Formats: sequence, structure tokens, C-alpha cells
Amino acid sequence: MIHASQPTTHSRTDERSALIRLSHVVKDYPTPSGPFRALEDVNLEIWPGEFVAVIGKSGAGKTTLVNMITGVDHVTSGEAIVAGASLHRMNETRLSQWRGRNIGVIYQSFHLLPGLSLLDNIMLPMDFCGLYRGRQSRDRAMALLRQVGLEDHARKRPSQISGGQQQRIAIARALANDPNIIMADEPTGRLDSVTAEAIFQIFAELAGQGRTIVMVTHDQALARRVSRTLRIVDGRVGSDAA
Amino acid sequence: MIRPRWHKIFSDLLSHKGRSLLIIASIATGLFAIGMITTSYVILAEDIRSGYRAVNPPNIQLFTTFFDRDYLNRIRKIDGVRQAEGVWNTNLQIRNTAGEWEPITVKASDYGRMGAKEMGQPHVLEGIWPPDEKQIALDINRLSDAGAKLGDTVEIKLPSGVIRRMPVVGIVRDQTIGSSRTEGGFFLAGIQGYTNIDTLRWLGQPEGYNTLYVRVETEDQENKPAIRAVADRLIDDFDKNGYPVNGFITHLSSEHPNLPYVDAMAAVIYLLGFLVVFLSGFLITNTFSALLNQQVEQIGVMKTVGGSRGQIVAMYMVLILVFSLIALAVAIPLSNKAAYMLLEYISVHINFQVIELRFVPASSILQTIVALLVPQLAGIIPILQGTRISVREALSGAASNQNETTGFMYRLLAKFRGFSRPILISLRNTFRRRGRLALTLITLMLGGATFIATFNVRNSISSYIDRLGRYFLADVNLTLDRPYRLERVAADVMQVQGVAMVEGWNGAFASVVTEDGKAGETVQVVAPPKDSKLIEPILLRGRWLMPDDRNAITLSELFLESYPEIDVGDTLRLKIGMDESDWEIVGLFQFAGRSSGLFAYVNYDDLARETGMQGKSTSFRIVASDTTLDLAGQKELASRVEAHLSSLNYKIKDVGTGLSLGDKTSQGLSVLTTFLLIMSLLMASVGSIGLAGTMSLNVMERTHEIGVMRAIGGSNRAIITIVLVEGIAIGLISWLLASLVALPISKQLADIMFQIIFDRSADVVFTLSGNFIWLGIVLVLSTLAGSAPAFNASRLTIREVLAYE
Amino acid sequence: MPPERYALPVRYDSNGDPIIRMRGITKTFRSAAGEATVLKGVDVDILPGQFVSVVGRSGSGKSTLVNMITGIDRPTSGSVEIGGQNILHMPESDMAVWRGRHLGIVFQFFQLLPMLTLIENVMLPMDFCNMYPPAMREERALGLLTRVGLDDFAYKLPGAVAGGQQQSAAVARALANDPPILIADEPTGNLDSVTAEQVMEIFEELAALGKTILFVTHDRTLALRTNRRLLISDGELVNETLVAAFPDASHSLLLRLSKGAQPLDLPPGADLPPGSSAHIYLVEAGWLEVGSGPQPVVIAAGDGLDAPAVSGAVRAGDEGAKLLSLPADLVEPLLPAEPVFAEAGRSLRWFRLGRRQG
Repeated sequence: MIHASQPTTHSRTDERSALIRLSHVVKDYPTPSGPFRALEDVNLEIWPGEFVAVIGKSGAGKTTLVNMITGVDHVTSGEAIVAGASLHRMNETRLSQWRGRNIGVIYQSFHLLPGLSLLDNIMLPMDFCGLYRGRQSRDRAMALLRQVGLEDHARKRPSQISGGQQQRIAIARALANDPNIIMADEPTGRLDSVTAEAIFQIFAELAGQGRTIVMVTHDQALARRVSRTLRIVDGRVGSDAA
Repeated sequence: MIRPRWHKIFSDLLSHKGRSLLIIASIATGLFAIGMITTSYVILAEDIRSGYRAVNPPNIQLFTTFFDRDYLNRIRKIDGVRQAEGVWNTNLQIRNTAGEWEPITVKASDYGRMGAKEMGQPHVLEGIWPPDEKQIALDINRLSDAGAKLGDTVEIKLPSGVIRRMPVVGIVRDQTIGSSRTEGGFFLAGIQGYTNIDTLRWLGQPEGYNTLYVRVETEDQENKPAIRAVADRLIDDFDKNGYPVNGFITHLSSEHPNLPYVDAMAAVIYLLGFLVVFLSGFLITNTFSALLNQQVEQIGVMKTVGGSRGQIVAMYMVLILVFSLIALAVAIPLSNKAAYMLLEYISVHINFQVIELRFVPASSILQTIVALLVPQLAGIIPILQGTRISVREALSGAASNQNETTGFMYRLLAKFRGFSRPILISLRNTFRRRGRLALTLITLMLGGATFIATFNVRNSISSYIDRLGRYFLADVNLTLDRPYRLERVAADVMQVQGVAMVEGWNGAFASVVTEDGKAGETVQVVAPPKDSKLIEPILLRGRWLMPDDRNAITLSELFLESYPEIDVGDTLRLKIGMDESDWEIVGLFQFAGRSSGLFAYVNYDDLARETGMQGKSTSFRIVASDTTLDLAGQKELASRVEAHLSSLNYKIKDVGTGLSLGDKTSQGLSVLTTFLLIMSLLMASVGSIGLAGTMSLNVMERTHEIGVMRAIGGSNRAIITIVLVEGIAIGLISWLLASLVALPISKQLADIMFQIIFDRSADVVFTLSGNFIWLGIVLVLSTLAGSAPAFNASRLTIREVLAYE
Repeated sequence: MPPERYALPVRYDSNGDPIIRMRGITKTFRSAAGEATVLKGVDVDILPGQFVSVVGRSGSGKSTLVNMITGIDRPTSGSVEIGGQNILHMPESDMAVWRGRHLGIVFQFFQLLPMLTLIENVMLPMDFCNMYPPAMREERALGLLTRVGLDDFAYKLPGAVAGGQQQSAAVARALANDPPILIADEPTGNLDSVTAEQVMEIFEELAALGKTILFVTHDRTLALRTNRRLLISDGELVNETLVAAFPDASHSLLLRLSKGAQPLDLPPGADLPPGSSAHIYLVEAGWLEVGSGPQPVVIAAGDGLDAPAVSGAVRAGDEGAKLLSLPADLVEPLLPAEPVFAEAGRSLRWFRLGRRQG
């Protein structure tokens, strides 16, 4: 069972305003044959506590959209205001710090640091952001390990556990600084169906505890199990609801 | 509790052992060079001075014709004289292993009876000291020429022709050799032997002294003016008592004769040592750049979880620090060991004694400073570049192609149509990572350029020595024990077959008389006959002597150092024997610099008038009819001349060959060029490590392409060839660059060497031998450097590289 | 449901030996996290000139299987013979050269070498394998590039052309040594639809010329353009007849059917033994006649060509027939809602026994 930690006091926004707001966001990439428009006039709002799926084929712009929200990439034009911060106005250093505190990102390829133990991987965000220090950070990391059911493997390296287990560690890491938003970019893409289901369960539980989760996926079946679906086609975002 | 970020750094250290070792080796090489040089120099500088002081060397050497013990005792009472000893210095002949007669300088003194401290005490290596009557001790430096060892009996030939047999009872190291500044200094010195005063009569010599050694009071021993003052008093006394002073020289007690050489080497070696550090910095930059390339994904992840660029940069700087500390731990003991080995080599060749091999704190401190500074500086650029990458790029795996732009190089290389594609791959691969290539090339190039420059410098030195030989163009130089009439000697020598011409030369030691009437420096005055054919001077100013000149004199360039105002047209006053005379300076010539003291040439007749030696001479120059005689031919002629004259009962002091002079000088100076060679090879090793590192980095980054080549038909041989050719291409390009850069470097190094040895700037005489030898070396090095990576590349199976699941 | 084009399985005769023969291919990956068996005893024979697609979901083992053929990977157990040559025991270097001569490989991650121009990339395999004299190579390479429409780009570097053009150049490179077998893994995965079509057309041309072509894809529509489809699900090969018969079925269902299928051989002229309507029969080889008579009545049949059902006896034709019998309840959802009746004399693809109504 996973239970959420108590909501912390840092940068919680007013329940009424959107946690994530993209307004008229356009993103162009330069290519040898001219700029390629990856996102076209994207407008979306995501509210606290929503469990949103972003669906689209590969190449449709899902990852680009994720990057706009996490501040990993900058908009070409338009605004991205996430957890109260105007991302388009922040420099790299501030963005990194902001990201560490406000967003936990989970990737398709897990992206754990191979040279670190699982425990250290979870502690890493705390080490960088300084919200939890020393003994406290270690205890917190152990608790998160327990929550994902892997406390016996604390000292192991990522290469010594399976893909599904690595993704659980990635989720624990994403929760390390108790962020406002969980972003998941194709979290089950590399997993077989059974494991994928188990991982999705974890997300469902987190959603049930009130966390805001944005999950990008191409799997239609998953999309049916979230509270809201956004579809992205050729760089344009539309709602699935209607 | 250690923070996760340091855990990551430590795991980086341990994960890629080969790469970590490469970085540590790069840093350690620079530290090693600095440590070795500093330790050896500090010990050398201290020990050569304190070691010399410890042998109780003479501060003043006075050369005269003869004085006895009574006078010596009176001299001892002169104000400022702490200790005075007399030495009889003469040249005899000794039979060497080849059965030929070679000159030997024999010193006889009251060894063993000088009181508490022997003056100029030699270091006893084997046997006993002092030698007793009719016994001889030999100095180790030219011992091999004599071919004698302890216990042997050597044959000494007197001028009268009588041969004496003397047992060798001791082998010593005499650090004062060369201090008299006559006979060309240490490097030209011949075999040295030591015996007891009582043996002199038996050796056909007068029983007395012709050289005075004086040691001044302790507080004056490092005070040149004070020593000078004592010397003046001694000269006055000699004058008053009718003893002609043929020359004198003063030294501080710490002034080892070969000190100038040490300074020359130190300058060059420090320069090159820092160059090695500089070059190793390049290696570090290269390797760190590759390390960061491989960490791109992790950097992206760290930025995602909240790591700022500053935090990440700091992490990698700590990694460098850890590498540096490990390298320091390795380099300090190794460099000390190497320094000790180097010192042993130098001490033998520079004729000093290392007092004690010891730990030099300054060296370790310097190494620590360099270890903390240089790698950080070298690594900061790749670290800054590597952490600049955006998260998006880092995580999408697109990163590694940053430096690979399609530039003019490709278009240039595209013109190379004639090559097969595999060769094209090698050639173009060379230029893909231009930053890395540049750094690798610089290190190899500088090593090669210095190597080539060493050959040029050595060639320039021997060319110069050859030119100096033009002052001594005779095939055979004959020195008789007393003056003989010119015509008689000429007639007798001409009887020997193969002799074309004989010239009688005169010579004397004089001293410059300064304005205040004091005795100045010793000048060796040489007086060839008018119209001598046997001299081709290198004129700096003015002209050479003319037959009609009267009391004209030409001076060697060293005069300008002591008397900077002197010029053509001035009058020089010399004291020869007891008399003073004025000479008109008609020219200044280039000679051999500091090592041989002041030289001057005058016409035979003019000197003869002063010394009373008209028509007579002790020194004869013989020219062979065969103008192409080599050293062996000259030796052969010399021995026949000697045999002939001996049969006519001439008292012969020495029969030497013209070419041997150049031979000896070159040999002596070879220790300097050996140093240059060692340093350049050290730089070349840095370059090779760099090349090996570059090649293995290149291969590591291209495993995917190698897999692709495997899939389309690339056999082991094809892949190995592609990697090796790339390495060799880099080597060849570096060779071309080295050949170009060697031009200015040769001039710089030669200038330094020439300034120290010959006191002038260099005329560089280039030779291609260095270029060709370096070509061979660099081909071997680049093949070796590329072979491990090439082998690894061929061992990559397509499975490892391309399979995925 | 109606497929665009529906190709009948090629009636291959067993005269020729297979050009690719794989037996008992098993592949197990061992990692610190445990063992995963990706291929579970696969047997495949491919005859010269066949145009084969290998289909499967992500993780099914299809790419691994093809890696066995190219030698990019080796089976944990089993044998692979290509052109009669056992390739598993070849040392790496020999394998590389052999591969360069006999296999043309086009893989998605299989880039051109970035430091060579397109034409130089195409010439490289010729340099490695020495099958063409040096003087000929440039001309031949240019010809190959022209064939894929890239003659204008021949002297450009890969970085200067678009992804699709690089892929086409890779196809040209695969043809450099005129290999008898072409193997491609998701050759159109990165391409836009126009270029993808171009590449598929090249493959079809080559197939028509008799080259053996094998390609992996997850895209069913592409797979339908080949004349033989191998479907892999969870490490096992699904019966080809089932794959051809039910192109829209889920892979896991097909695998279950494949495992539950019973083969049934009928010698020429033999009657179908009495069976229950609980079975559906698929024709793997040969053909059946539906005669008139009191025997089981066909009430539903199909061969892709709409045909009315007939009743009558079912017997094997002159050459005999191989059937597969499948549990009907599993197959039911795959069948068309409207029953189709077979005419007398028609050859059937599948049929079910039952009673005619009315």
C-alpha cells in the first residue's frame, strides 16, 4: 500500500486556479530542411488532483508537450505557467531547482543512475534540492522504498533488478521531494503487460490520494482509466471528453 | 553519511578503470616530470656547491715557472692566506690500452702532509690516498682512456724518452679538474694522475712547485673582492721576489668548475618540464571531454531531479580532485626515485659528488600545487561544455555528435578520390573530433619538434666545434719539453714521410694590466708565424694579423665580457713574465667562450721578442701531405713523428692530433644533448599516451559504426586496418607539424646552449637525420598506440554492439 | 474488415531446399533480475524467392528471431543454416565477410557511416567483400542509388539528407554486393508515408525479381503486402494458415488457436471423417470438394470470396488435403456474422460442419 505524505506547505496553489496552464504555446524545432512545428497553439489547463492522460501516436508531440510542462524545453511562443511559476521566464539554474521541488518525472527508460544504489537514487533529488537533509533524507528514502515494496533491495544497483522494479524505484524517486505534480512519459512502454498493470496500479493509488498526475501514453486502454484524456494529433491538443 | 552525489563520483571513478587510469597517468606524468626535475635540481644545486666547499678547494691559483718550499713557507705568512700549497703541474705521456702514448697531466704535491685538511681533497673511490713515492693515483674521469685499474702498473714516458713504471694505488674523483681554466676546462681535460713531490726527480722534473694553491680565511671564501685582494698581494710578492706570474685565477669555495653547465641544463630542463605539465593538461582535457560525453544521459537525469548546473560542475571538479590526489600519491615516490637515478648519472658526468640523496620538501610542495591547479584548469572546459547540454538533448541520446560538423575538411578530404573507402574512413575519422585531434597533435608535435631540435642543436654544436678546429688546422701538434731552434726541428720533422710542412708556434701566459696597474685576468697568448696557413679565424670585428704588423694583437670574444669597452684600435697592456708591453688591438675573433679562458693571437716575432725566444719554440704544427687524413691517419703520422724525433733524442712533451680536439669537445658536451634527448623523449611519451588515449576514446565512441561495418562485410583485418591507419595518419600529421615547429625550437634551444657554452648566439646548422629518425619513431609509436584500441575494436562482436532487446 | 489486397499463400513445391533453415531456436536472456526466454523453440524454413514478413508485438521476439539470421545474435540452442551453411560456428571475422556477400541488411538503427558520402557508403561493402573490381564500384553504386531515386544526392553526406533518403540509401547499400537475401527490420518505421511507399515498392520489385526478402514489422498493412507472413507471439511462431485466415485476430488468441489446432491429413479422394460442429476446419494445403449427398452439410464457409453455402459431402481433392481442426468456440468471434455457403466444386479455405436450415 502506498500512502501519501502530508501535503507540505511549499508552493501549493489556490485550489481554484489551474496547477498547469499552457496558453497559446507553440514549439518549433530547427531542422536541416527548415523549422518543424512540433506544437501548434496548445491551450490546456490541469487542475490539482486530476489524473490526466495525454494520448497520441509517436511523433505527435507528446514528449514535446511534457517538456513544456516540466520546463525541460522552452516554448517558442506562448506561456507555460506551472505550479505558479512562469517557466518561460526562468533561467536554467532556477528551472532545475524549481523542477526538483515541484515535479517528479518518470520516464519510459527509467533513467536511474547506474552507479548508485537504489537508495541513493531515491535520495539524489533530496541531495540536490536541500529540502530534506542528512539522516532525514535517508529515512524518507527508506520509507519510500518500503512503499514501493523494495526495501530489501536498498543496496542493489539498478542493473540487478528487473524493469518493473526499476520503474518503481523511479516512482519513489519522483516522490522524493514530495512534488506537486507527477509527470509520467510512457511509463509502461518498456514493460510487459503484467508489470505494466502493476505500475499503473501505483499511479492509480497516488491519484486516489489526491496527487496531480499527467501521464503520456500511446496505449488507448490505459487512457480509459483516468479521469481525463487529452488527445494530441500532429501537435494539436484536443480534449477527448466530447 | 555520504551524500548520494559523492557516491556517484566514486562510482564514476571505479566504473571505467581504463579511463580512470588514463587520467591518473596523464596527471602523474606531469607531476613526475616536475618532481624529478625539482628534486634533482635542488639537490644538485646544493650539493655541487657544498660538496665543492667540502673538498677544501683553492680560492686562488697562481701559475709560475718554479718556486721552492722556502718561498712557499714565506707565502703562508701573507695576510689573508689561510692555507697555501704548492703543486708541480706537468704533462707527460702514458701508454694506453691500444699501446699508444697519450698525454697525462701529472700533479705532484705534498699530499698527505698538508695538515688537517688536504687542499682540493679528491674523493677516494678505490685504493689509498695519498700515493707514496713512485706511486700514482688516477682520476676516474678519463680512466677508461688509460685502460688502467687499481693495482695495474702503468708506463709513463718522460720527455727524455725514459719510461717509468708506476703502480696505480688509488682511483679518485678530483672535483677541481677544469678549475684552472687552462687546457680547455673539464670536458677537454685528459688523463689526470697524482703523485708525491718526492717522485718528481725520478720523473725527470725539477723538485719544486710551479703552481700555488691558496685558500683564504673562511669569512672571505665567498667574497670575490676579498679573494682578489689577497691575490693581488700574492702577485705583488711574486713580482718583488722575481717569480714571474704567468697567470692566475680566483674562485669562490663553492664555485665548482662545471657550475655554468649545471645552470644551462637547469634552464632548459625546467622549461621542458613545464612543457610536459602543460601537455599533460591537454591529455586531461581530452579524456575528461570523453568522460563527460559518456555521462550525458546521467547529466540530463540529474538536471531533471533538481540538480543545477553549478552543483553538477562542482561534482565533476571533485572527481578531478580525487584523480589528482591519487596521481600525486603515485608521482611523488616515483619522481624521487627517478631524481636519484638522474643525479647519479649527472654526478658522474659533471664530476661532482652527491652528498646525500634526500627528500626535497620544495619538490613535493610544488607537485602538490601543480596537482591542485593544472588538472582543474584542464578539466574545467570540458566540464563546462558537458554540463551545458539541455535536458532534452541529454535524454534523447542525440548528444554525441556535437563536434561533428560537415566542414571544409570533408570537402577537402572528399577530393581524395583515389583512396578506397576504408582508408577514407580512417582519414576522415581523424578529423571528426577536431578539438581532441588538436590537443593530441600539439602534444605529439611538441615532443617531436624537441626531439628533432635536439639533433639540430647537437649538429650545430659539432659544426661549431669543427669551425673552432680551424684555429688548429694542423694534423699533428708537437710539444717539446724545452725550446728548440725552428730550423732544426723543421728539418728533422720533414724527414718523416708524409709530412708536408712544419710551423713553429710560440705561446705564453700573460696577464692583462689594468689601468690601476693591477694584474688582471690571465690571457693565453698564441703566436703563429707570419702568414701561418694553419689558422682560419672567425672574425667579429676588425681584421686579422698582418705580416707587417708590429705588436698587433687579436682578442677572443670573451674579452668583451670582462672589458666591455674594449674595441679595435685600443691599446692593451700585457704583462708577460716580468715585463709589461703594449699591444694594439687590430681585431676581435670568435672563439670557444667561457670554457677556455681569454685567448689572444700575436705574431711570432713580437712574442719572441718579449719572451726572448727568437727563432726558438716548444710548439710545432705539422701538416701532412695527405690533406684528407682522418683521426686514425693523424695518429699514425703522429706516432711516426714521435718515434723519429725520439730517436734523435728530442725531449718530447706531447704529440697530439688535430682532430682529437674536436672529438673530445663533442664528447664532453654530449651530456648536455643527452639531457635534451631525455626531455624530448619524455614529451614524446606524453604525446603517445595522448595518442593512445585518443584512439581508445575514438574507438569507444564508434562501437556502433564498427558494428555496422561488421554487418556489411568488415573482417577483423579491415577493422584493425581502419583503426591503425587513423592512428598512423595522426602520427604523420604530427610529424609534418613537428618538422615545421622544430625550426624555431631548434634556434631557441641552440641559442640557450651556445650562450652558456660558447657565450654567443647560435648559428643553427640543420640536419635531416633528426627528422627521419623521428619519422621512424612516430610511426612505431602511432602503430603501438593504435594497436590496443584496434585489437579491442576487432574483438567487438556484432552481438555486443548492435543486439538489443 | 475487408482487406485491401489479400494474397493467397504461395503454393510452394518442396523441390528446392530452403535458403534459410532454422530449427529449435531458443533464446534466453539472463540478467541479474532473472531469466527471460524470448524465443521458445522456433522452426522456420524460408525458400528462395519468398517475400516474407515477420509480425509481432513489441517484446514478442520478432527482432530477436531475425537477429539470429543476420548473426547479430546467437540462439541459446538450435541451429541456423543459410544457403546450407551453418552460420553458428563461424568465427566473427569470417561471418562478417560471409554476411557482406550473402545478406543485405536494412535495420532501423542501421545508420550510414556519417563520414562517407551516400555513394561511398554504397561502395563500402564492395570494398570489404571484393566481389567487384575497384574500377567498377563507383559506377555500380551510382546505378543502385539511381534505382532508389537518389542519384542527385549521391555525393552528399548523410547528415545533409533527410531520414527517408538515408533509409533509401541504406537499401541501396544493402544491394551493393547483389546478395541473394535481403533482411529488413522496420524499414519504414522512421519514414513518412510517401517515402515508406517508395521503399515498399523497391522491395516488391526485388521480390518479383526473385530475391529472398524477409522483413520485420509491427504494421499489419505492410505485412499484407508480402506473400508469406510469420507471426510471433510471446516467443512462439503462430501457424501460418491461421495467420493468413484471421488477419485481424489478436496475437494472443492466434497463439492459443495455434497451440490448440489439430492437424488432419486427408489422402486424395478421402471423405472427411464425421466430426462435430464443435470444430472449425482450416485448409492448409490442397483442396476439398463439396459434393452433394447425405453427409455433413456445410453451413458456413469462406475463402475470402463471398460464396453461398452448400450442403453435401466434403472430400479431399486429387492431391489430398491437410486440414487444421480448431475448437469452434474460440474461433467463433472471428467469423463473419453472416454465414456464407460454399458452392459445389469450390475450393474452401475454412469451413464448419452443420445443418442447412430450410
